[in-house]
Amino acid sequence: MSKESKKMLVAVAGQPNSGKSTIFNILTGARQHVANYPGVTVEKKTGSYHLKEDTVELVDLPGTYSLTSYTQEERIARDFLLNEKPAVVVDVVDTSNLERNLYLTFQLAEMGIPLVINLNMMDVAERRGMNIDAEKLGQQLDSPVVLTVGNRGKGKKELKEAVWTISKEGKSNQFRLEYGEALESYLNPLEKLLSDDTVLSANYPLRWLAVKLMENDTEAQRLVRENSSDGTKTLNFVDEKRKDYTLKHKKAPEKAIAQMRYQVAQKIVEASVTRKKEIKRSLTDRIDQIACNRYLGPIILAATIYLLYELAIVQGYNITPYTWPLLAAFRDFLASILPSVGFIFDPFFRSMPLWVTDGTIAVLNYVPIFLILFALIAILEDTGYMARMAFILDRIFRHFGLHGQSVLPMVISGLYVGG
Amino acid sequence: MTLGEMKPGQECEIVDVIADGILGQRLMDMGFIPGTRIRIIRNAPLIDPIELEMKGYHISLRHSEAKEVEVKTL
Ligand SMILES: Nc1nc2c(ncn2[C@@H]2O[C@H](COP(=O)(O)OP(=O)(O)OP(=O)(O)O)[C@@H](O)[C@H]2O)c(=O)[nH]1
Ligand SMILES: [Mg+2]
Repeated sequence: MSKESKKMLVAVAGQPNSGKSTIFNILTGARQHVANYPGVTVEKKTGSYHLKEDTVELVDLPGTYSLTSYTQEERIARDFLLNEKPAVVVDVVDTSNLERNLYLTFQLAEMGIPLVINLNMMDVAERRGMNIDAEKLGQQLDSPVVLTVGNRGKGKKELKEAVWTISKEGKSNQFRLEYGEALESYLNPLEKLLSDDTVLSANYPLRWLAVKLMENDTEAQRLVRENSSDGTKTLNFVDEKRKDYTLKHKKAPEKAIAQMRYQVAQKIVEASVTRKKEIKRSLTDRIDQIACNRYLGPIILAATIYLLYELAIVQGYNITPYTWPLLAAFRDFLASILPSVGFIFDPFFRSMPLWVTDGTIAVLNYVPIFLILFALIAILEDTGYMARMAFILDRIFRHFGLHGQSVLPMVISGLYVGG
Repeated sequence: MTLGEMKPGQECEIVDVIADGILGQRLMDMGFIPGTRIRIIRNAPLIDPIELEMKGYHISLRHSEAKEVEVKTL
């Protein structure tokens, strides 16, 4: 029998801005197919690459901080993982924010899918003086760890290799987050109850389901209601347990669960990361102190906008006396080679080209203004001042309903002055 | 007192997240967990948003969100 080529489904998951699309692009060589997830306007990017005899189908999942069912992005990522059951998930981690990123990693691991932990943004982490014991981190998460600098393509080969290796092993992730005695005494009986249900236990990771039910997750409740023969009984049991926990511990279980995830993340980070003295970000900080100052900020902003106006519009217009003669000379040249002027009417072959030329010249006359304006805006964008402008103007933008998300994480550190 | 009442330069520790539902969950997902230390970097010129440093990274919150986080000063 000939060696058969196999298709393998791999998902790229991670928190917003961790570099998922960058990693997706370096793996697939940016050969991608863009569609929408069924029924929603969220983009679904797929692509593929070959390794050895396999074809890897790669899917770029939406970036999410968590995997609750509150937002569309989270529901999409989670439904994809539950229903499409990818062979491997590449968990793209912003290493410079390792602790917060692990919060999502835990939830991916809980779903039982084999993970490759992709520590991306290693250059930023190193600049922050982080030294990471990748092996130790991998042991604690029962997953291989690969270091990358996505935007420079560093670590691409190792990442492909790790995905291939783990897909061949074909064993599920054995990492199990221990939520502590108080919560476990609720989670364990619930998991046991769920395991008695043949449909649920055949289709869903039960530990994950137990945790989500304890978190009062509405989509998890729907899964139980629709798939279990005894759904109502299970949900009543959950409800009772949630009330009981809240009463006993004066705290909603979902809060305790989030807290435990962060506690464990902190422990893992402490065990696998050592920090040298941070390489100072003081320059950025000091510039911010001035650029975003309560009083100076708006003044600098106004000055910047005035400067834009002065340089682009005023000075750009001052250039036109120099560029205009060139354009005018061209028109004169054109006029000289066209049929000569008529006594009453100009011949059509004269007037028509001249109309077109006049119109074009009228627009070309403003080209210096646009060139200067675009160049200046590019500079503002690159230095990160645009982001500061957004910060200062947020209040005004809000009146026009222009803000995106309710919690706007401005990871200023990602906006180093000069990139 | 709540995070919304803090002044630039002050440091505090989270006591509780008051909000339930999506806002409460999102705050916790972002790392607003009891015991976590926060440093107020600045209040933006036109009041919103507040900028904070927490766990080594910067976050911007609106006052309406910040008042859902109960803190104590250090
Ligand atoms: N310094 C540094 N920058 C990186 C690295 N990887 C990606 N970036 C940059 O980080 C930014 C975000 O990368 P994306 O790939 O768009 O991130 P994403 O996770 O797809 O973001 P969302 O889709 O919005 O969630 C881009 O400007 C990348 O060029 C890295 O390893 N180091
Ligand atoms: Mg992306």
